[in-house]
Amino acid sequence: MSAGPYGRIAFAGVGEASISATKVRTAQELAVEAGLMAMADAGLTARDIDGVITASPAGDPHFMFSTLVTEALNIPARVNMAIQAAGASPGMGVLYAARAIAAGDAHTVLVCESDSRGARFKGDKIQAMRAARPWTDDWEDPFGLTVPGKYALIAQRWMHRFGGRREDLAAVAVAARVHATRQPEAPRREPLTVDKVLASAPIASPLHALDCCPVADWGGAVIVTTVERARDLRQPVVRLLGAGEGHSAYHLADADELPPSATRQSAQAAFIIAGVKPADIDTAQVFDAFTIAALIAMEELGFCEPGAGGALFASGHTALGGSIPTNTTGGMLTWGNAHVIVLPEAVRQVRGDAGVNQVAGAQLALAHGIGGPMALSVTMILGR
Amino acid sequence: MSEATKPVPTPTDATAPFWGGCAAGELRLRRCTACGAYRAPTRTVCACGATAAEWTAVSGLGTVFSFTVVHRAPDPAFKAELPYVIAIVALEEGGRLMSNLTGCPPESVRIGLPVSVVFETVGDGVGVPKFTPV
Repeated sequence: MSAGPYGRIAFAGVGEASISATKVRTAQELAVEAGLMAMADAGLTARDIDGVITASPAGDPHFMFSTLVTEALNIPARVNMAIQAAGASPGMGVLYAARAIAAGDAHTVLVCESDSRGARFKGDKIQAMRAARPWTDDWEDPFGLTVPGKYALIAQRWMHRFGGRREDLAAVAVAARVHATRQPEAPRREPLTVDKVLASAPIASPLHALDCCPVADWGGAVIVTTVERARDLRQPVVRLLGAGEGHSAYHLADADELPPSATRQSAQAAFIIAGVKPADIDTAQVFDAFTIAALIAMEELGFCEPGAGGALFASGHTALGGSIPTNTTGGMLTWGNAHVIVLPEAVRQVRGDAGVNQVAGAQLALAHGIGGPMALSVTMILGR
Repeated sequence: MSEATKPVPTPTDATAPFWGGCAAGELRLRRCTACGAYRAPTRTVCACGATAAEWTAVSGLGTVFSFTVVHRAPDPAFKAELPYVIAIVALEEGGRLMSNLTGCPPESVRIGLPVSVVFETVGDGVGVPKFTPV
């Protein structure tokens, strides 16, 4: 059923560095902490790993970041690279790990993403992140464009094309909060209503404060290896059944359409390779740095028709017990902009090890990432 | 500390015709010498695969493809203008530009609004294109 390099790839371990308001850790230390947890989960030591793929953090940015992490973990790496694909970096990391393993260049790869944005970016988060950004952009910066502004441009056009309303976006935040309320340690867990989202402070129309994720520190890791090797390890084998990537333009002005088609491209490839269809998926873990991102992701992934994303969230379909429980951790809208959050949760769901977030009988999980304002996307389908 | 200033484009050999055109009151796009299509200034290569192009003045007319009213600025230099309108403008000849809408109340902006270019000089021989309702 599986094709390409992904058929013999499995996830052997997962780890997530705890979110803490008091701990002070660098992005490198967060990657190390999550990596060690993933190794412990798999029953491996650093000396059993032979590849490291990291993201490139915005807090504590560093030349050769993956080499720093490899050094700290004392991993005898044969494969080592830092990916710069923003929110799609964890998924991209899994794809390149699978490719390296399929090529015989490595057998067990640590894929991690970490960032210290919470610790490093104080005060006005939009301004702090812009001040720390190591590049300028002549085509966007002179006009005062922000990251929320980019998603706002997508949201405005989505509303125009499909007759959408701000209430559709708010439904995504409310649905995320329902998941969050199960978790005592969640930073955002007070009950939320559509009216509260609508009444929150405007950021970039039509997005308001509660349409946007908090800025946080995070570290997350998965260990990617062969199915054969995973069978000898501690956890139930979770296979990568299919994966795909999609690409649009960097600058939104040059996107093919809004929303850009990157997610649709990545999903089509992943579903074809896995040999399944959206209706077969038991739980979806999608990029939700902004409400509009998750709403459009569900449409582009094929879980509903274009324009119906708001109704999907508003009607309870994405809740536990719904037709497609989505972002069962509460997602980035709850925990902060930890793009990697989708991966450990998808693995745990398929293992049946997701605790209070478990989707009963979950066999197939989808994990999705977006980099930039939907400039690129990765979709992965996981199963037993 | 001096007053915060907005980011200003830094023309290169490749982009000077665009920014210089804006300073001279002319919106210029690369026009493919192979297929005749105009392309966005971020595209070195045309969708047809050809690279050769001539910077060509265009009408400066277009429509709003999407927009947002910004309430939280990326840096202090923009704070005095809040709320301001960012728009992606689809140009009549083809290609789109990220820009600002000026000369209209934010609540009057809608997708499809016909607009025309206006120029703001921001440095020696450097201008930026902005748009205003026709």
